[in-house]
This record gives sequence, C-alpha cells and structure tokens, in this order.
Amino acid sequence: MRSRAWVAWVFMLPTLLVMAVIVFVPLAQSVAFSFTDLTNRNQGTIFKPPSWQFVGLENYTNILTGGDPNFYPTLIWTVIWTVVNVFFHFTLGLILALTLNQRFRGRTTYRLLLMLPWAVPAYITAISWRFLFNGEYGLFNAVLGLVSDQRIAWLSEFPWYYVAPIIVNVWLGVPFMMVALLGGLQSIPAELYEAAQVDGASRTQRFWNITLPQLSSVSSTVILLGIIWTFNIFVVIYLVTGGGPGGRTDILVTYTYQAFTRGDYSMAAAYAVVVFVLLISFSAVYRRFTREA
Amino acid sequence: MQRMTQLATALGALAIVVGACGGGASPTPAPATTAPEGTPAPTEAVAYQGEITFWNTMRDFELVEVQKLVDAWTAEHPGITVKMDPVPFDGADVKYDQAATGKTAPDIFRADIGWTPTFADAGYLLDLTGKIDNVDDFLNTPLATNKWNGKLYGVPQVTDALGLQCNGKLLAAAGLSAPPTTWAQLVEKGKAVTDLAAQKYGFYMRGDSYWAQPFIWGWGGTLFEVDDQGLVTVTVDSPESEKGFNYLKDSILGTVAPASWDFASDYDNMNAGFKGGTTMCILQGPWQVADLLTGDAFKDDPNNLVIAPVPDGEAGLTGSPVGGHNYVVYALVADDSAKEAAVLSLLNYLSTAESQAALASSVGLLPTRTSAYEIDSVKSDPKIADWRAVLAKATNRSGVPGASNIYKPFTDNYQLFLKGDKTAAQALADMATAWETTVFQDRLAK
Repeated sequence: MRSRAWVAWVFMLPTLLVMAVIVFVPLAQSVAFSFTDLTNRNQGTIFKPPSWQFVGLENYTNILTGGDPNFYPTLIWTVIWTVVNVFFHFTLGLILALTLNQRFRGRTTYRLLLMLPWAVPAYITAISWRFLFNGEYGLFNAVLGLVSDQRIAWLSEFPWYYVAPIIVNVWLGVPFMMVALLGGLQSIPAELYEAAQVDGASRTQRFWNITLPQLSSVSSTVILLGIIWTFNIFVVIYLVTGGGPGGRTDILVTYTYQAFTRGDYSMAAAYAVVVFVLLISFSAVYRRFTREA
Repeated sequence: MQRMTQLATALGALAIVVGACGGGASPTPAPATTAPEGTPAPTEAVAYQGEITFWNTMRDFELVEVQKLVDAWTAEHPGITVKMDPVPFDGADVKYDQAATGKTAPDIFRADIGWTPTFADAGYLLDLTGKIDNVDDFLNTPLATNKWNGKLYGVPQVTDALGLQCNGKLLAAAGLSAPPTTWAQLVEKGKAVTDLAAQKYGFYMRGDSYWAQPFIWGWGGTLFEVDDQGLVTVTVDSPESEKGFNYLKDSILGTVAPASWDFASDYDNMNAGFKGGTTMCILQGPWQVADLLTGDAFKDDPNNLVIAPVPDGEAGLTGSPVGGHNYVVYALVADDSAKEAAVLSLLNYLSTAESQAALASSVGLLPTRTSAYEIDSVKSDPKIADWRAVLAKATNRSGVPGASNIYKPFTDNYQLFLKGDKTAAQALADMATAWETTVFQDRLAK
C-alpha cells in the first residue's frame, strides 16, 4: 500500500496548487503585511517607489489595547450576533427537522419550500429584506400603518437595527441546519425509540435521552460551521444595514472591509488575522470540548 | 460513445469559459455617425491606429449622449476604435487604483473630482499642462480640482452642487412664491404642508455626511484647511459647526422632516417622496433632475420643479458641496506619442464648449466652460440658469489626496448624533480625531 501513496499525492496536487494560489499564499501575505504599515499611499506604484516598513506588533497592540476605539464594540456585537443567530438557526432548524421527520401529507412540498431560502443567492435575500424593512415604503411599515400612526425606521432605530439583520440571517441559515439535522435524525435507529416506548418513556424523555444525544455529533459539527460562517457573513450586514447607523451594526468582516477600501491594507490584514486567530482558537477549544463530551 | 460525450462536455465547458471571459461591457448602442446638433466636426488627423480604452462612470442614459460624441470623433478618425466601458461609480476609484498599479488602467477615465488629486499624487496620471485647448475658458472651481503640485492632471467634464429642489405647487400651498431663502423660512412655512404621520414632508433630510455639509457651512463652520504645502488642519469641530448641527436636529427634524428615518435607504426614499409629490423640498444635485422629472409630480409639468441655492443658515451664510467629474489620462499613454496625440485629440473634442452644451441640453449636466453657457441651447435652458445660481453660492472642496475618505467617519458620527447617541460637540470631536488619525495622518500641519 505504501508504494501507492504517491498516486494520492498526484491526484491532490492540482487542488493543492490552486488552493495555494488562492488561499495559502494570500493568507501568508496578509499575515506578513499585518506586521507593516502598508497603505495605498506608501505601497509604491510603477511611478513611485514604495515607502512602507516593518513595524512589528504595532498594529496588533493598537487594536488590542483600544488604540482603535471601534474594535472592541464591533467584536462584542459580532459575538452577540453569532450567538443569537446560531441559537435560532439550531433551534428552528431542529424544530423543522423534527416536524419534517414525521410522515404527513405534503411533506415533500414543505421540504422543497423550506429549502428555498438556501437556494436564493444571499445578496438577493438581503436586498429584498432591506426593501421590506424600508422606513417609508416597506411592507412592514405598511402593515404597521394599519394599526398605528407610528412608522418604525427598522434599519436605523434601536433595537430594530440589531434585530433586522438577525431576522434576515436566521431566514438564510435555517435550511442548512434543518437539512443537516434531518439527515442526522433519519440515521437514528428506530429500535431505540421502540425500546424506549416499551420502557414507558414519554415523548419528552425520548427527545432528551435519545434524539439529542444521537444527534450530538451532527449538531456539534453544524454548530461549529454555523458559528464560523455567521461570524464572517459579509453580505447580510453590508447589504441590509450597511454597517448600520454610525457603524453600530458593523461586524468584524465589514469593519475590515472598510479599512481595506480606505487603503489601510496593513490594518485590514491585522484585523483579518485577529479574526482568524479568534476563530481557530475557538474551533480548537470547541473540538476538544465536544470530543470529551 | 462515452468518449464522445466526454469530449463534447469538455468542449462545451471550454466554450462557456471562453465566452464568459470574452464578453465584457454591456453592448454599446449602435453608433450615430452624425455629430449631435451644434457640435463641430472634429478635424485634426492623427497617426495612431488602434484602440483607445475609456472607463466611464456615467449612468446609462448619460452614457448614450457621450457615446454620440465619441462616435462623431471616431467617424472622423478611421482606424481608431474607442472602447467605452461603463463602470459603476461606487468602487470605480478602487478599481482604477488596482488597474493603474497593474498597468491595465484605461487610457481615459472619468474620475470624480475627489479622486483626481489622489491619483495625481500616486503618479498614475499624465501631466496635461499645456496640452489642453482653451484652458482659461474653464470655470475656476472645476479646473482647480485637476491641479496638483502646480500641474494640470485632468480636464473637468461636468460640475455640480447640491441645490434646493422644490415642488412648486407645494410651495404655493405653504404660502411661498419662491423657494425659501433661509432655513428659518423653510421651517416656518413648511409646517403648513407637513403631516409626519401621513408621510407629507416640508423637507426630507438624509443621514449622509455629504448632505450634512450645508449645515456646517451655513453657520460659518469649515471642514479642514489646506495650506500652500498641502498640509491640513482639521477645523470641523468648531462652535459654528455645533450650532449648525443643533439647528438641524432641534428645528428642522421632527418639525418639517421626520425625526428618525431609514438611513440605509434614504436616498431612494427622498427621491421617491419628492417625485410622488408629498415632499415640498429636498437637497439634491443636477444629476438626479432627469430622473425626478419622470415622477408623478413633474412629468406633466416640468416647471413644477423649482431649483434654488441652498438656504442660508445664519445671516447670509450658506454653502453647498461642489462635486463633479474630470477626464484623466493614464500616465503610460505617454509611452506612445502617436497614441498620446490621439487621446488628447479625443479629450479636446469631448471638452469643447459645443460638446459640453450637447451634454447639458440632453441630460442636464452642467458644463465647465464659461463659453458653453453662452451657447443658445444652454443659455435658453432655465434650469441651467438656476443651477448657475446654485453654483455661485457653492463651496469649493479642498483637493487633497485621500480627502474623499473623510466621508465615512463623517457619516458615522453624524448618524450617531442624529440618533442622539452623541452630542454635536462629541460627534464633531470624534470626527476630527478620526480624520487626523486615519485620513490626514501623513500630512497634518503642526
């Protein structure tokens, strides 16, 4: 078998090369740039020599010690955003999966319909919801107008500017969780339930003692994926609130994007590295924790 | 058979990829070979044969008019094709920046006046000093936005400024025979046509810093000062600016304009309300006029749209941000002197008074040449005369590289002020700090 290992490498080589070019090299370059003061003004062009230099950990100390006053509030909101979203993704996904696991008329139609949010491109969803939330002409205010005189500026008023993107993201993220959990549910052997029923377990007991533990490996994986994806989801925040009034709904990725577009490449790289380190450490801790349990 | 299917699939995929790469800009309209009314036929012959690339940030209906001018020029210069790529305005500066570094920048680019000094400073632009016909004919302010370090780096195409645009019928309903000349007058009279719950507004404000500027200048404040060496002193956090901001919040919002509104969509909402005839006045630029005239309130009676300078804040003080666009040429064009001659010929043709007048009469964009305003089609257009009055009271934007980055922290702090999270003083102070640390940090005057 050992003599055939090189075949595996040959097959992997094209993918590895592409990934190196698209992922690994830019990643390494980003990390390298985060230790400099590179901006679009000193990067040097074909007409002007570069004048950036290495500054060591200066960008990181700037970020971590609050030299950039927006970093910590953005980080806190990003964490809250992630936790709330994944909580709703998982619970709603689980409820829908449990429902769809039963046999009833029209089940296939419901499954298809519930996949719709996943099928529609995220940016179209974001733009459509933004129009629904429109403060003057949106559907929600039209409905609200039937019962009250007050219009709500959903994307500019507290706490709605936090709630609106969460609603959109939950709408986007539930199908994935639902499908994954449905798959997990269907792989639970029916004998376990039958045995439990014979022993006189109630529905709730069956749920807590059979369903959830059997789903734990699927759950832990999708929750981790959900956390990483939600932490970094750019489209929803950017297209729904645009970072919200005064940058209040900016998450770390949209904040990094702003640093990039104003030409502060080294700071943007530093933010990106911070996000990367956060997520990698979290994943490592999470994995260890779920493996023990 | 299986091999054939595989081969067919592979070829099909290849064809799709090639097709996707090959296609590019949206199809340009069929060229009109006759020049638009009043433009002289371009005459100079040039030796260059080949392609000239042109990135245009104009919107579709404006592009059509420029295409006519370009087609007239190419008709007189066989062997040269002008490839005009429409590029969306948002992010076009980032795109050009990257292309210029990668040597793939277009020969001609329509750059916002705010971007021109930045590109000039980076060395991307060809020095046009002495190469433009009738340079003295250009209006001072637009021409100044093309100058950096004593050299000329572009040609002004159009200029604009925010003006007060009002619905004539609503003005009459409010008891005004002409648009208000001061904000106090707008507030006092606007109340008559305002019913916030019914979405009828005397005025509709935006949560965008560009629109907030009149409330600083109208009270005597300034944003920043640039000295002769190009060093910047940030001056926005002054008592005058504070006064203007507080006036906006205390007197205008909640009285004639909504106190709280959807910032993310306010540009579209502002236009929609005005077009629908439920908003009396808005601050808006000439670029939107063609669209506003299609609204219910104006399509049957274009004269219902009344244009006036931005109202005064404090006694006699007002200001409106001057915007506009320049044509700039990529520095590497100079490597080929025949090509440079061709590009300059096209540029000069597009910038004649007659060409500018053609653009003005068709899409309402304001010319940048003094002589263009004397041409009949422009002179007889009452809207353009109104805009000239607006421009006369407008404020020059200081051209410092990177200055267009002031708007993000400006908007953020301005929105927090509008929401009540920060006082005016705090918002202005934070704004000033952000400018000093993230925008002008390389060129602060000590």
